[in-house]
Amino acid sequence: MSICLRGTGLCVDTQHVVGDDFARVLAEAQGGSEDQFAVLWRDANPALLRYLRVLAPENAEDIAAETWVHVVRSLPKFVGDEAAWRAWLFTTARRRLIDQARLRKRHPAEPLEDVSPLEMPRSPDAAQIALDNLATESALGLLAQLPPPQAEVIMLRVVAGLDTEAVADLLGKTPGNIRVMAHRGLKKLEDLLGRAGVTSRAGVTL
Amino acid sequence: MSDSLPPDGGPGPFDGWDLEGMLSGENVWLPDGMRPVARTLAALRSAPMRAELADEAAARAAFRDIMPAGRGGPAQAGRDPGDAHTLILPAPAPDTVLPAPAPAPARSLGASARPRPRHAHRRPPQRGRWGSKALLGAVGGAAAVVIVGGVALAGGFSGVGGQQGLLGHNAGATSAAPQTSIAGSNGVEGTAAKEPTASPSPSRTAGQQSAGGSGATSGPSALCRQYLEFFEHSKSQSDRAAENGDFQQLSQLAGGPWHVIGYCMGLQPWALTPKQPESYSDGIGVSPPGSQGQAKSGQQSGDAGDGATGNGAGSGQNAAGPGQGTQNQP
Repeated sequence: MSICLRGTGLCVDTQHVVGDDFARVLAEAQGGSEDQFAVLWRDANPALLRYLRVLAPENAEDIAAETWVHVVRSLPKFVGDEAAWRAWLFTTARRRLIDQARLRKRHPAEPLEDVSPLEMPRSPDAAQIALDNLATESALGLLAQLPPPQAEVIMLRVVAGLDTEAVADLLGKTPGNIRVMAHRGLKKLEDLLGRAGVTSRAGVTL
Repeated sequence: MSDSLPPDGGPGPFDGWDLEGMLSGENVWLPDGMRPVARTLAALRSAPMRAELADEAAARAAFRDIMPAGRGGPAQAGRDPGDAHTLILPAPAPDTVLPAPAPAPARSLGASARPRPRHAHRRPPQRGRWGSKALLGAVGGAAAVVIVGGVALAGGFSGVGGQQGLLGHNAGATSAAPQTSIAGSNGVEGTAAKEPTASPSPSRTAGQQSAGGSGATSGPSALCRQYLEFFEHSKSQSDRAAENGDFQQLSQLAGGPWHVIGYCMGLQPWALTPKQPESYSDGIGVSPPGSQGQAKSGQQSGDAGDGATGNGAGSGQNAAGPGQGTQNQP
């Protein structure tokens, strides 16, 4: 039930870290255990951030924080297993995403043309991210080039770990439609990679 | 590119490769062209990056800020969802009463399950965007209270003659009689002849409210509580008159009408205390056993309203847990 950072040894991926302990962790978090909530947070936040960075790169962190605030508020009411938890989390995030998009449409952000580059806020982790996570960053950048519906389907399937039926319910579409969107998204991704000169090496097995 | 379904109702041919297996990260056969895609997907689900876990302290702080109001132990998860926002402090059993607050031990996995003293985690060290959202909600709530108070005050000024007359009549009837005679006037009005409590019900009569003027004598804290309780309940004409009286007293105490909310917020220990059952049994018709139930039902109706708006935004909630039949609303 532990996760690790890249480069520090054995690591698990972004999916289903909590596993069999989920019911106990959830119950204790609902009871007010901050440590158990942190387990849930560490399990899901990386996937949540990646999902949001593809769909709303400018304010992914803000939406993620807002999502967690909503989730914590409603945490005592949640009932379900880990798959339901993930679906709930990403449904909440998607709604916050839609709210943000509406807000930004009504109140567009002003350009920062008059601000000197030296005064621009910068993330202290930007350089570290670029160095440590080039592959993930590149992958996220590629996904961001897909049409948003296709990118969202792929992110929910791959990063959030939701199955086709859960994604269909979340997006209000049919499972067949989700499969078609995923297929088209992957073909588009193949096309983008081909144009970027990324080819398959002979003998590569997955 | 259209995302409509193919005519057969299913996806088109996938060139022989396993779409579901690829999306799930399984080891499946893939054509050469799709292998870079599979590597890209593998990179997407790779281990967390340092930056993705950097906000844990802020998340914990937000959890500490928010959860005390909804905390109820694992059993709370099985309660009626509508009760989740109702603040119910666990009644300590006689043999489990905690001693005086001791310094918190080092945090461990099991330590947080023990009940902590209230306000033990005020002012988290790191807030950032998390704190700002919670703070924004609090400021918004306070602003709404100020606006409602201002409107109520304006309404009180416009109709002050009639209300003053009513109050003056009651005062005249009791003349130099002590406050017990005011309670007697309650009996004339048909309400219970019970002495005013420290936290009177918002549905008191004007006569009771004039006795509530003694809130100033029982302390500004009680006056603030009395005043703010009007916002939680529907108001009658007499409530408004009483509310105006409280507001004017508080204005004098706080140094102006705009300072009333800040003044009352400064006296906040009562703000989170649960309603005492006897405060509902002041003869208006709400009995103690039902009093909590009524409070809950009111809360539930509020929650239901939230849920309705939440459901309007999307329908994926219940489907999130297939076969669960639960109502997890984001």
